[in-house]
Amino acid sequence: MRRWYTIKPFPYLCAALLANFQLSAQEADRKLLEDPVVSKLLQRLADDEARIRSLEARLSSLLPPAAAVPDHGGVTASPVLAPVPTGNGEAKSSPATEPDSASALAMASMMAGDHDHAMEIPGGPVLKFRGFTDLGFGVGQASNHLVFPLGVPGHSTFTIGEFDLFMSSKISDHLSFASELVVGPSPDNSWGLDIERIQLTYRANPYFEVSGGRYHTAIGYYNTMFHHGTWFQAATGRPFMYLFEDSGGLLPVHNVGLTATGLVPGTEKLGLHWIAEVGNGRTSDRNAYTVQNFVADKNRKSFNVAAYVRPEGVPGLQVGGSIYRDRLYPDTVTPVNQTVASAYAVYGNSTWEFLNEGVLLRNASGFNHRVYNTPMMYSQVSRRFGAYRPYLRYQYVNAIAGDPVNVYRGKYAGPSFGIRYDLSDYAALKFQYNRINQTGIAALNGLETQLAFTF
Amino acid sequence: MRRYIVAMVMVIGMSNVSAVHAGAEIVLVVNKSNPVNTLTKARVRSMILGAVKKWPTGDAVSVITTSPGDAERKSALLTYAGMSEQQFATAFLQANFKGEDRTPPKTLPNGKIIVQIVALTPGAIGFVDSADLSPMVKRVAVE
Repeated sequence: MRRWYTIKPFPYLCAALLANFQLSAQEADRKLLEDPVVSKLLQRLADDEARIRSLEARLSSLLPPAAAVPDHGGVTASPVLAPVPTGNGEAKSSPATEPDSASALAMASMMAGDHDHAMEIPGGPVLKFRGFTDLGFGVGQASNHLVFPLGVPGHSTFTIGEFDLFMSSKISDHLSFASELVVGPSPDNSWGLDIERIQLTYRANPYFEVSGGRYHTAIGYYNTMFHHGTWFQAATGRPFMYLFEDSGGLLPVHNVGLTATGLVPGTEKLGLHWIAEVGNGRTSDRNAYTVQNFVADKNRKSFNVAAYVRPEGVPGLQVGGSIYRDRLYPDTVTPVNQTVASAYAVYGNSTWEFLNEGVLLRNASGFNHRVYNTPMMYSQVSRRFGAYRPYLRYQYVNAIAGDPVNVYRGKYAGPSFGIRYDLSDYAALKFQYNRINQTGIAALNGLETQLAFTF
Repeated sequence: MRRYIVAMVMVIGMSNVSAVHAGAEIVLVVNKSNPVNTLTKARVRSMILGAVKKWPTGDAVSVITTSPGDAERKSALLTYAGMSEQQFATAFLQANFKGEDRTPPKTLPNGKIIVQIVALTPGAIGFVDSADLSPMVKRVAVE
């Protein structure tokens, strides 16, 4: 065990400052200053400052006079770096003003530093980035987790998955920003750029927060737990029922509008949470871009209400459900009332993952007064054995013929099983076999290999 | 034979010493003004995972552990969150990715400093080695 006298004090002070505690009381300050540890830290700080001053003086002596005086107002283009043209058209530094390598490095460092400072807002929000992507190889008809309808590609293929840049920033104590910028491949091998999520969130307290922008609709569990990075997921991709709209998915997994959530007061032990959402909903035109980011095709908005419990006494258990309502006009005149009801029970800890979800998509046509029900479900279990996590998923979707809204119609069901191997803390290699039984055609098989990582 | 017995006794003795060292008790300490005397293990888990943000008094919960990689922190994470350091980091990353507002524990270099900071901060809860206990803070029992 490390003791205080074996640790360098300077990092202590940095850590203590970062802790950001309010030590406002004079009594506390007095006690703190009398503390031998703090005294040592202060002494060390003074020593370090003296050392920095000494180093700065040495640096100044190495620099030419024009650059020797650091000026945060801006380092102007110094003649020492100005190139002069040569006879053959190439630029070359003038020997008369060419700095030695130490000076050039110092100048470059100073200029780079000033540039960085220009991007920073002292004490202001800091934009944090995290990236996710995956590389893979698929063999067989059912070997691509992003392509839908199933059966494509028909050839063995090296694949590049979605290139996902997740950004977040805390703007103030109550305001935060999050976004997912995704460059994703299409079946025609082109790349498409999508802002998959962009949310400005106001958090009043644990009982109420509201976000505006584009979000993942709180239908079921998987859709809000796992977004576009495949590294978090045990399997190579999402269940069919939660495929993205531009992959042919049936559910409105993205929406643009407002989403609010919070803990129900007095239910801390039960962990009862509520969610309410209102948004543009999905477009009525099956041939148009599905998510209505900027122009809605109707005044009526979709809404969704959901609730879930996360009991404190059973860590890892979450049980919930949701109801989503919208009205679509696929033929521009006759309404189709769409209802999406979901229920789920999931359990996950550092060893086990057990996911079970069911959704009923109900489209009630005002044209023929028929109701088209599309039931869908999946169940997935996995267990970690050290760096290995074998998993099994079974899924089922049955979109009946004649549905006026669904892009895909038919039944498809089948198992997927595979193994995830964590190559390192932040990279995983997955092997997955898929078998899919579809209405009217022979069963499809596919083998996927995926290397998913975060960076 | 005698040498084997001596060697065996030495090995057993050494293993006992290391067990005592490895099994150093991690205790929870709070500010003396905090009226809470006991916490359930589940509540401690929620706190260390950033899901519980307020004490019954209204003070903000500030969880403090030693630095990542330290034996005390590893033990605290394993005992109360049931996670390794990497799993713990991934849990916060995933919560952040999901959009949840969870603050990871603040870290300080050792238990002695944690105790001093907890003594100065009403909402702080520190995970320290029992050897670092001090009258400046109050120990909280975990049920």
